[in-house]
Amino acid sequence: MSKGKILVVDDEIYIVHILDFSLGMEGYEVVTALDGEQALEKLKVEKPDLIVLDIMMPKLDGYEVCKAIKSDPETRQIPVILLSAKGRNVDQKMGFDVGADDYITKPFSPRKLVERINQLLGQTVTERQTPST
Amino acid sequence: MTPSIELTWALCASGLLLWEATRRRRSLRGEVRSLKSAYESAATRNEQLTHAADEMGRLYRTELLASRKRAARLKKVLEIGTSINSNLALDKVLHEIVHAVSDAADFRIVLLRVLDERSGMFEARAFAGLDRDAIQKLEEYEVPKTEFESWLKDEFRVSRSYFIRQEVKFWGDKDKDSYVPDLGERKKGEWSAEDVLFVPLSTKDGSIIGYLSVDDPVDRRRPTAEVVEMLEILATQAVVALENSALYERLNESVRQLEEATERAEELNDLKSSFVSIVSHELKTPLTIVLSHVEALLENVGTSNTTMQRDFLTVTHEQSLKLKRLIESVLELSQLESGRVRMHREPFNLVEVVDEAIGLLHEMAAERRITLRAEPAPREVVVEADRTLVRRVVLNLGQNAIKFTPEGGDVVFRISGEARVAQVEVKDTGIGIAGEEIEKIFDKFYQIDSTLSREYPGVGLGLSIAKSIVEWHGGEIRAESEPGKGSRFTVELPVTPSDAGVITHATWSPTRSVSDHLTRLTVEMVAEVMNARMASLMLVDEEREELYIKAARGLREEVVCGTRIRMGESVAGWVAEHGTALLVTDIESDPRFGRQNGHQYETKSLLSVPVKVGDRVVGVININNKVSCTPFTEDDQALLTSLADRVARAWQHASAVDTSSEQAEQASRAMAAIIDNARRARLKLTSGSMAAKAVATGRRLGISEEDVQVLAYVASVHDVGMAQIGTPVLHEPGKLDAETWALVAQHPARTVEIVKPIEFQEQAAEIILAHHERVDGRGYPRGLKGDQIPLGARIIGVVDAYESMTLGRPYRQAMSHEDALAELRRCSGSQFDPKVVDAFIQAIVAHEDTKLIPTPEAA
Repeated sequence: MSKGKILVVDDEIYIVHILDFSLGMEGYEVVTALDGEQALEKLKVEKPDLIVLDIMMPKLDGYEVCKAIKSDPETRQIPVILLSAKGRNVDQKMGFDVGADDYITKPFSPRKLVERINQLLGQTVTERQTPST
Repeated sequence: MTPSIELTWALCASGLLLWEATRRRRSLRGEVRSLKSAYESAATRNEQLTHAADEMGRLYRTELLASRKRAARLKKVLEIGTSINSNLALDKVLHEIVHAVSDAADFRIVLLRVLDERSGMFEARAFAGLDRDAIQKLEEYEVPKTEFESWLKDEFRVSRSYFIRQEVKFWGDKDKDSYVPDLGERKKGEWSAEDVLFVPLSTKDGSIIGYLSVDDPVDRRRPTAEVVEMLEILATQAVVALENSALYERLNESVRQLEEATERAEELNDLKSSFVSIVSHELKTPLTIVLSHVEALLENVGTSNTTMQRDFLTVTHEQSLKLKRLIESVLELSQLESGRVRMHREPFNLVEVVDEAIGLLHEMAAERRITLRAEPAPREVVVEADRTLVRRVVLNLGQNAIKFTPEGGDVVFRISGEARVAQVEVKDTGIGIAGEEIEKIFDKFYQIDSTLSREYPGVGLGLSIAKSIVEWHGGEIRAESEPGKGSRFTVELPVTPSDAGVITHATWSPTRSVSDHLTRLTVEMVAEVMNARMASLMLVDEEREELYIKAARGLREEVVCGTRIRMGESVAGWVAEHGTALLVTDIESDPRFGRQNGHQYETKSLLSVPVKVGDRVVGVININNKVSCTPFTEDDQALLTSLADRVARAWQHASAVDTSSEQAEQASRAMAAIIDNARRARLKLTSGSMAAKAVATGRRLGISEEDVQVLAYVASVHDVGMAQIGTPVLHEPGKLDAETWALVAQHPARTVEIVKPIEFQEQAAEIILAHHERVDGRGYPRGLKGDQIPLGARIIGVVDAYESMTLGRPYRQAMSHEDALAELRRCSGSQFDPKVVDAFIQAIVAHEDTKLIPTPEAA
């Protein structure tokens, strides 16, 4: 039984991969998008429980996507975690201004991110599943 | 305007008024006298006399009125002259001047021409008494400078003006374009229409900037000396107006340049910060991938999921390599852009370099099944450039082409050479670049689409690096492309560096490398050691071939900010151009001395030396106004030359690539210690005369000029290390205890240590170290004997002993000059070299006579 569905948005494929892996291990179902526009499309179809969103992306950046999510009554309750290499206070403040629920700077620890997601979704830390052989 | 100039105007104005009044009074007085004599000789003609007296009174009143009017007019001109502030106002002032000339000197026609420096022609700028046609004619005809100069013959000269009579007119029909007014019938001896009277407008340094020419005198008479004098006073006024206007223009120009420079600096700053943020983002991305994968791997150590482990390790490996490349590229680019990379230009064959690059690209091309090809080229295309850097450019362009060309495509290299330019072209059959993107491809980290960056891995700096290198060589790089068909990159390199205008940007430049702190220290050190009230440091602006003041002591701020001297002009410009020192004993008689800023010089002597890095003059140090008010001497020149060499040394430390800022710091500390030492020396009243005494002694012993310079310098710094020993030692009476003695014995070595960062002459250090050695071997620190002690050190030893004896110490009474000399003679052969003692005594006696060295009694 899945603990929830997470939408991971990043234009860097390896970051999407590692998040897919780590969240999968934790028992989450993961859907992915590689840019802002794709993210908004997936959002409608997949109705995720939480979104992990990169900021610097082509087409539509993370701030814009977050703003769109938070201004739509249908999606505004979905927690958004911004994930960015932009680590200055102003960048963070801007993130919270557009309605983000959390802001994590790169480089990040996948474990910490998972813990944060568990927290936001009111999930307890599950025992690590034994990886399948 | 400063008060002093206003005051000058006021004096000048009142002088003119007085002059005018006196002239009138004098002529009236004459009249009175003659009338009086008429009265005395013919007492019977009483009535007639009364009438004449009345007439005289009336005349006097009219004359007075006219005089007043004229005076008012003159005053106005003078007032306008002081408030001139724009070109528009210049025309107005010139207009006023020509009308004032017309009124005051009684000429109906007045013309003022101004020399246009660029065209070398005298242009008509102001007119009085001329109709529109005449003005147009005069404006159309510009007088060439050479023609004007041909008029300046001594035979025509009256005071500073020239009067050329119609009878001697020598220019024939050459001036058929110029204007000759119709003055009607003229009697012989009267002023003729073709008579010419003009006053050159010359500046104080003697250069002519225009001339004032008059015609049609009201009294029809040819000019008197009085009239010429009047004209010349007014001409001076015109010169001032023109110079003010030129100054104003220069000021405006400087303001504009300053604004531009500020803008450029701001742009650069913006670019820099955006570069930093881009770099940090680009670095963080692979780092994030590496760290997150490693963490996942660590958590899965020991599990049997080997596929995942292998995948993650591969990603980690790839991304680590990417990070490494990225860091290398960023460093390379920032080094290139900071101008810190040294360019090693050498002639080499471009064809060979392209072949090498193709060889290196082979593997990468083979992986993508791309054919690399070089089009038939000349066997040899030689360019003088940095071989490694040029290969880098070709490699980067090749990599870029391979990266964006689909499998099976072609990348073709083509080389061509002309007389001045060599070309390398890299053509591919790749995906191409859309028109609007082409300008951005040389930007850092620019890749058209980030999806492409996954498909075509790279750091996005290759083209930026190529562009930097090419432009540094004074070349050009450009791209042409058609989306879907391919791109062509063309590099043009100048064959020889003389065709490369931008080289100087990246090479050593004092403006970029020397901090304000260091320049301030330089000026301070020079002023203190040389005992000069005014010291300035000028740097060479190579681009504009000018010198400007970087830092100064004893100069007003506006002079520091406003002075720019062209290479070759005035004293500093001459020094910068010739690379040799110049000692001017009388600035007023030296032709190189520009009039500019003359008022700052309290004394007539000026010393100016170049600061050279290698053979290149990067700056000029000027000093003036010796505290002692005496002129500078050759000894001062030797000392300042020596100091300038050390300054150059310190600057090099501050700018060298391969040295740490620690060395720059040490250089600064050395200079600060020298400043401190010079100040303390002055407190002890040695007043820098040590250098002079040492040099005079050295010269008597026949040492070379180079050694003189070293000696002068060492004499000024040899006790720098004493400050570290601490003042209590120096003030302590009686015999020194063993511990203190050991400390004192260290001071020569300390001095060497302190000045070492700016020292480059082994012999200077040697002299410092040995100046307390004694010829009998009982000196310190090494106990050298006789000739083992460098001659310079033996000289310093004698001079130092004399100084310390005659000046005394807090714990020891000062000796008289004679007693000190007797003491030197007594110790000659044991403590001192007899030869040196003799030379010193001769020198000091000779100097005593001329009083060039202030003796302690005099100080």
